Amino acid sequence: MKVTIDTQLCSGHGNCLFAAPEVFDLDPATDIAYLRKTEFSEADESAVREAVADCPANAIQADDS
Amino acid sequence: MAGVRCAHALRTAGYRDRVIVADAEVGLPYDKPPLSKQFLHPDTPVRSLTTSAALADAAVEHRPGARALALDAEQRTVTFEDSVVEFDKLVIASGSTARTLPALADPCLPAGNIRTAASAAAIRDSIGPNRVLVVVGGGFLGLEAASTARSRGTVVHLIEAEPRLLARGVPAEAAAVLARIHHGNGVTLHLGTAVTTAAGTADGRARLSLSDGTSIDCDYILVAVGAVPHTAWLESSSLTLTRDGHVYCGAGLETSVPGIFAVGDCAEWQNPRYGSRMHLEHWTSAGEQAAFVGRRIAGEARAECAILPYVWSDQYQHTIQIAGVPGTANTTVPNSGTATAVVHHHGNDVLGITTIDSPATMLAIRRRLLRDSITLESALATCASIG
Repeated sequence: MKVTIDTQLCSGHGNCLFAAPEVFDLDPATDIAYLRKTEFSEADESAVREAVADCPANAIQADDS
Repeated sequence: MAGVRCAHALRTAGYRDRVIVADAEVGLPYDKPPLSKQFLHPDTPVRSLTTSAALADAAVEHRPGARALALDAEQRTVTFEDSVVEFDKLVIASGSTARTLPALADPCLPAGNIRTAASAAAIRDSIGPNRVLVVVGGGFLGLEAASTARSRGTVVHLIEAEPRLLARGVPAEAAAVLARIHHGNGVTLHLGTAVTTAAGTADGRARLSLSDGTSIDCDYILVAVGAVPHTAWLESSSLTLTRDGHVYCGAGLETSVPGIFAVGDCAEWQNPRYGSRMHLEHWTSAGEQAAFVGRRIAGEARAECAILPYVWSDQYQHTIQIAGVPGTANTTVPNSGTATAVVHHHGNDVLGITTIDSPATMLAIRRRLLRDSITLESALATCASIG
């Protein structure tokens, strides 16, 4: 799975941290989300899908590859 | 939104039977929050929540333009205008419709609400330089529309019957900061004021008379005075509805009839996080509820749906966020400029927080509210340390 965050769209809600705490965190300096890892387990992938749907700013893209 | 979310959650959780999403609106399902914000700018498309390809991939049958007319909970059928659909499990996500005001009910008035893209398009075409918009209702929807209309150069009057903005669910301290923001951006606020009469004029505009004696000529009236659950179609069924028309659900979002669930604006359920009955009209909780029910039907989830409410609103360049529930008292931590945190508490127990332009503070407190109980001292210390 390839996951990208559009940092222009990210508004710092942090919904992704609650949906997928292993994958996402927020940079305290900018309040913008970043990826904590680039290799994802099956559990991560399902949590990432939840995070994509949960993002109020529509800032996360996840493509199965 | 909730319907699509539930369908995808069912498939992710391994549900193999047929899934049908029936939508009263036409076209692909789209996201509602942008309707009072970006969508009010010219030539902005709706933000689709899914694609035809994704629905086909997930083997979800999408039926646009299918308005549910009646439910037979015993025969397990839903009647639509041109068909009757049988089901084993049903998820009711029929949302809510805009509340109306008797003084503004005349269909000849240039007036409307923002519940769908079509209704939002009507206001979009009526705002801009040299236009006058009257917003009736000082809730989040009305304030967001006022903000977008101002950014397009519209003259904006906002009329609120209560003596302050956001009288439902937002601390007075935060509402006062927002009132200053709107005043500073040129919105004329008419608080503690009601519309007494409204009449259409020959040139397609309208003239309003307010309870304080003011008269306003305008191009469009946005009626944003709240919503009522869209459950009239369920009144002939055996489902239990609450006095104000929500579908009555248990802690697992199941209705009074097994195998029939309700989520989002139309549902009232027992929120196990608080041990009390709630209905939430929020994007984030509707999505969480829909995903929960999808997983539950697929056999995966816990029996109870605990939710920490979360709401946000974007106005001008400002962001307002609320997590948790109101308390019996509020303590305000002012910061520089508009940045504000208002902690909701009951004695020393923190129940929630409202912030303006303080996303890091919001996130820190929201994380802690989700994990454990917080004392007022420690919440105020967190707010002060992040600043």
